[in-house]
Amino acid sequence: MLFPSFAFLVFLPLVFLAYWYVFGRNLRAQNAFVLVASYVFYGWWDWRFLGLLFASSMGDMLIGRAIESSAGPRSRKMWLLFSLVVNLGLLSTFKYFNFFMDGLHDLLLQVGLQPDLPTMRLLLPVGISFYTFQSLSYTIEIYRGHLKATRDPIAFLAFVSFFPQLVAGPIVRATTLLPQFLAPRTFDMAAARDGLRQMLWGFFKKIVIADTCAPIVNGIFAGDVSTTPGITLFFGAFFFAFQIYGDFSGYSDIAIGCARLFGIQLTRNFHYPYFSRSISEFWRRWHISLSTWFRDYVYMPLGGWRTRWGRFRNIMITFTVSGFWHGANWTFIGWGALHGAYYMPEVLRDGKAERDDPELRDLPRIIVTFLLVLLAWVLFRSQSLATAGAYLFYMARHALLDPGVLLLWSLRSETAWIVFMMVVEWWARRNEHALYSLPVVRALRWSIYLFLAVIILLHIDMETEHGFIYFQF
Amino acid sequence: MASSTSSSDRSPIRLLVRTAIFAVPIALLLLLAMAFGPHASRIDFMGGVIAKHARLQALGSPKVIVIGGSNAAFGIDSEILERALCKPVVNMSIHASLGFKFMVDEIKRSLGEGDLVIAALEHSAYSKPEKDNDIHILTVDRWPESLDLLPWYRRPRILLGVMVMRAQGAWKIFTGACKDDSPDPVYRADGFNERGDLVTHLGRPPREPGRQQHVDYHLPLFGGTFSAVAQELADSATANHARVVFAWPVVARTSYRPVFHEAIRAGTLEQGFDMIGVSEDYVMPDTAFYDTHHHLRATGRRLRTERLVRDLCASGMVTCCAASRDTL
Repeated sequence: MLFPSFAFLVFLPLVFLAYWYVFGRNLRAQNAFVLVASYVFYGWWDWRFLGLLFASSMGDMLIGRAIESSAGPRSRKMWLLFSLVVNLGLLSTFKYFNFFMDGLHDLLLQVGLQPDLPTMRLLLPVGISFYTFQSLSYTIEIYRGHLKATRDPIAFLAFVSFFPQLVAGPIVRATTLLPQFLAPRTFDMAAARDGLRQMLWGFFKKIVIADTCAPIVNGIFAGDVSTTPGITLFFGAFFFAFQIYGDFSGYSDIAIGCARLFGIQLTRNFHYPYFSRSISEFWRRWHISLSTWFRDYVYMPLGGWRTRWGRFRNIMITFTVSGFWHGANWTFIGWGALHGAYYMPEVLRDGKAERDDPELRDLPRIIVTFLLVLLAWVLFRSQSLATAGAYLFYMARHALLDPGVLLLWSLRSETAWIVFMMVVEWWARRNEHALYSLPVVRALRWSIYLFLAVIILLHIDMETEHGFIYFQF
Repeated sequence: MASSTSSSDRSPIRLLVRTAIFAVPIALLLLLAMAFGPHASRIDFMGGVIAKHARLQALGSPKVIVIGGSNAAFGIDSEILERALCKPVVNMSIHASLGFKFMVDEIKRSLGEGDLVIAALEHSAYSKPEKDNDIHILTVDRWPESLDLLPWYRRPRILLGVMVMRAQGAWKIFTGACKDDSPDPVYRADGFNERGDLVTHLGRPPREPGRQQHVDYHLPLFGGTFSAVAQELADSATANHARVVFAWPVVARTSYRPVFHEAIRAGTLEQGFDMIGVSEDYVMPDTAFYDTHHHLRATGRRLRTERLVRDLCASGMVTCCAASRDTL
């Protein structure tokens, strides 16, 4: 089920009412209801993968108990290893099997063999990368002694499958989310109202920004780059930067806001990343739940990060793996590696991380960082490294020889809404989300809500169903 | 947070009521758009269903009813069919995205003794006979009665879609954005002749090959409720002493996939229906098509209809006029 759909418009209020009024008095019943609602939400897309979701979750729950009850560190480690193998094995099978087979095929061809390797026509289960990582955090944290294994399968299954964040995150650690399913929840009107505001802004970003940028980007990336003017290629990447931001941060805002209606607090996933003054800051602001996951479960365990060389090595490994997490394509690996390379000057400089909020005087650094990110998005969006290379080459070459005409005027409406979004987010950059702090006067506040709702309504594309980009990861 | 809440204000229902109050002006806006707004799209093609239904209602039995997607709207000459079968023809075909189920629901109450239904369905109708898309919104927008042909649970979404698209249409007029999307010269509600065939494309040259839309084949080829819908059509026909025949859709040479066509024949046979004719006879050169590999131009349209008549008469399932039998 997609958030911007009629089905969700009906689903959400029904689930909300039943959650608080029918099942609200009994925690176990409430969790069971969340579980059923989440499975309905997921099964709406494809019910055949519900079994996989269930088996993967139950497997981790049982492994968690086995880790806890293990006597020695050796058996604890073995169980953790087993959890990693099972989870990453599932992920590899569905996501990476054909990628590795193709790679092996090419390698064998290079050495003069004629391989006949198997390939599988597998559908990628939506959200598998997200719920696998969320579920993995449970066994890792039990192994580390930060969490006790739960004896409540309903609460655990509800934690893994909680519908607002099941298919595209945020990836919330078991230490943060599971305790919320084990304790009674009370309705908090202020939090719920703020959740609705955050959802409204999320819908704005998804429908008004991402979905309107999508056809522009698709058209430019599908065209012949060798004959496309440089400025058009630049704006193809520019609009993609905002498409993916609107799409993914919009989804996160809707998910976080929606969870708050149910008394659940998810972790923040975006913190106005395009106002970053450096690449390291960008990664503290973009897809925070994934970057912190990789920091804690990949970067830190690699060890040696106290030395400059160790940091250098760990960053490159972490970014490359993080890129690969996004999909079985060299473009994602290249995208991750490029970001790793962007990071290096900061490692060499031993630069201190910016902890304050950006100001107008930081604008030159913000623009430089944005342009670096924008170049990397070309890799992310392209079908192959070769097409990404061609795109970047012609963008640079045509910028000098065939700059073309600025196409912003023909796209003035899309550009105006991007500017509007950035202005609002700049104004709100110290807050949790863009509509966190609004005027006290109720009429003014409601006028803002109405304005946004009408703008969203006028931009809904009834002819094309726009899924979320991150669903494919 | 600027807006505070008292500690007694803890009722979820209050939040829902407030949200509903917030939704009132939006609902009013949508109702206004529904009542006074322009149509959902400036392209009124789907409005063609109104005249088709008027003819369907006006014709007595026996008659010939053609159902299918745009392959049959663009590519059947009902006049030739009418002369060959000596029965008046109504070509109900307009758009494959309406779905086979919708097409059956459109005609099943209008069947009478001696009627013949020719189902020339696109491949997508076999894999997904029930469709849910914007084409229904555009149809309801032009012909509100068609809402009754949709299942009850889909009606609210379709109605909301009409309201939203009308509001968007009004906004486009207000901002002047509608100047960019001019009505299409081919896809017009008044582009059909009295029998329901589309004729606006007949004198036009084909689009250049790069801009021709190819046929998409979806797997599995047979899916959803095809069998149930086909049976529903057959039962309605039997109850009204009418007949149903399945005919091949026409496709361009480069879009032709014999494996799929063979699978369609095998699948329909297995379910008790037969496709008349040989699929290869309904494959024509790419240049015979206008803008997609289903939309025949004038010459191909005539040829396809003649082959259809030949196959109908040869099938033994249909009574043809003496003149056409002699010709064959």
